[in-house]
Amino acid sequence: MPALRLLGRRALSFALVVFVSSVVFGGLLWTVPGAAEKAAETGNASFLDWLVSFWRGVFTGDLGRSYRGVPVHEMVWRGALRSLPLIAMALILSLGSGAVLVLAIGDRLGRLGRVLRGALHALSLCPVFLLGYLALVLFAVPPEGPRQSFAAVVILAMGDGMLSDVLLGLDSEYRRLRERDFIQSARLRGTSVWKHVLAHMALPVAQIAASRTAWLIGGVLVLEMVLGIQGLGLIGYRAADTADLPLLVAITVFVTALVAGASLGVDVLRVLVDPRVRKDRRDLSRGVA
Amino acid sequence: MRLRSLSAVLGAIVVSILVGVRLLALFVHVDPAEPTDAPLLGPSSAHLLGTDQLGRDLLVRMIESTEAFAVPGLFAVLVALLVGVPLGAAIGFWPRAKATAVARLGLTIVGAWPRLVLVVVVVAIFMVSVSDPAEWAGLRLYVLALLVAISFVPQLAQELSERVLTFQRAQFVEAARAHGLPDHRILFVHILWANCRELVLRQCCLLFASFLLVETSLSYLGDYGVPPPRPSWGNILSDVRSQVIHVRSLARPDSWAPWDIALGLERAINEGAALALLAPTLAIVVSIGGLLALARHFAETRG
Repeated sequence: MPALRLLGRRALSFALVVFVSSVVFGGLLWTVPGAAEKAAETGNASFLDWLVSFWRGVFTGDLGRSYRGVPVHEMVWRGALRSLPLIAMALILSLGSGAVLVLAIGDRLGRLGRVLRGALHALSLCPVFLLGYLALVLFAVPPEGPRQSFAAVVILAMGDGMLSDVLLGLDSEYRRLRERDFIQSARLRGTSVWKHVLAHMALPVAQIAASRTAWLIGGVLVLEMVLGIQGLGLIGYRAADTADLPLLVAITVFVTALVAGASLGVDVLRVLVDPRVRKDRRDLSRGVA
Repeated sequence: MRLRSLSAVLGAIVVSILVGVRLLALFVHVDPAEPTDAPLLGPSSAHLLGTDQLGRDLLVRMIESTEAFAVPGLFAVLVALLVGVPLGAAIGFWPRAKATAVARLGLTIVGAWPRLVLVVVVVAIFMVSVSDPAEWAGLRLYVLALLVAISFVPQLAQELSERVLTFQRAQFVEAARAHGLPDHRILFVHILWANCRELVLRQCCLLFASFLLVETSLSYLGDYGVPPPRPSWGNILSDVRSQVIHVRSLARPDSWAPWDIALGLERAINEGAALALLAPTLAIVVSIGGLLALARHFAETRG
């Protein structure tokens, strides 16, 4: 099974990325004055001891306590429950509105459509912190509640060039797809092309989503600080302030796993939707970040 | 006018303005950290953009803010070029070498680190590790630039390696090999210089825009960007935040109605906070927009 072997390789690469990240970030934080002494208090005399204990904790669900005395896994879990829905909703909103604009509206609106797209591109140029700031000072976004979450999702879906990237990516894929022979043939025969278009757009959409995950995590970090959302970003930022080794490593490894996992997800999807990949391993390596 | 040339013109205008403002800053001999007049003055001939909440000239602070990203941004571009171009070129030109597999894995690992997370963690470690953070404040921006450059290397190397790979079996490369040209000459002169320079220039524009984004974001947040009282477009926005929110809160904070927002804005203008909000906002958006327009022009130059 070449596809399984290839996916196995990707999974191994994913595991390696996450492990090396824990070594790099753990090693960096180990150099902070006082970090080794604090680790020694919990029975980890050397960096290697600490690393073994960290990975044992990952599998047993006990990552020790942060410098504030709160269990690390609880803080990461609590933060993830706030941040991950925002990231997921922002991706859905951005890809959904991009798909509507590109696939459903397309060039039908003429000049109005171009103006609308231009305005969205311009708005999308704004950094997330700036949109959050403007939302805060102009629309008085409250410090919690559904209005805050709504504002955060909209800002993440648009800011830092998110919507712009989605629009350009989907547009170029759709234009390329429209020129393909089988789509032209389906049109000439008078049959609906949407089934084929949607099937062939699934992979590019997943690729765009995966490539934007790292950006979204950065955006969430900033936006949570600006709007005061108690998510991974805010917890991580405060942990960075105090160089809280256990908490900071847990958060960085978690977000790295998230980004690498998104890339792995695209590979799985590619194997599922593209029969050529199941036969030819070279296709899988093409275009994978 | 075709969009391609419009992008180029817009980008060139914005970049020229940024360079001009940076050069102008060299001739401004007013300390941007020192109050020069009463706080929150509106625009006048003495202060074209008014003063901020501490009585500092806003125009001087806006001009001096270019110091925060101009040279560090170029430093980031230089680092990314020195690391990313040789790496991407080697991966594309010798795709089956063992070292290439290791380099690919390294790029995959670095590419999985979200840029802002990497920057915040490492700058935090840097600030905690130095004995006197204020003394190292100037160096902090270069650490930030270095980290943005490192986080950008996978993107640059990936795109470049894909481009080099497409040229590796091109006829002109085969012909050059048949003429006995060495690999390094084919790679650097015939592939990189002749066919990939627009791609590299595009990535340089994107990297500079990314650095500007990271610098202003962190300066706004306060701890890891430009340390006050040194100005940055990010911390100018942050400084005036409480003033704008205060003014806005006087005008029905719970209301989203346009007339309430307009009333809040009117009061903000009267109390001098509006320009401190508008000037950096426009500066950030126009600068990033100009750099992205230039990047788009370079992307379209080679189809």
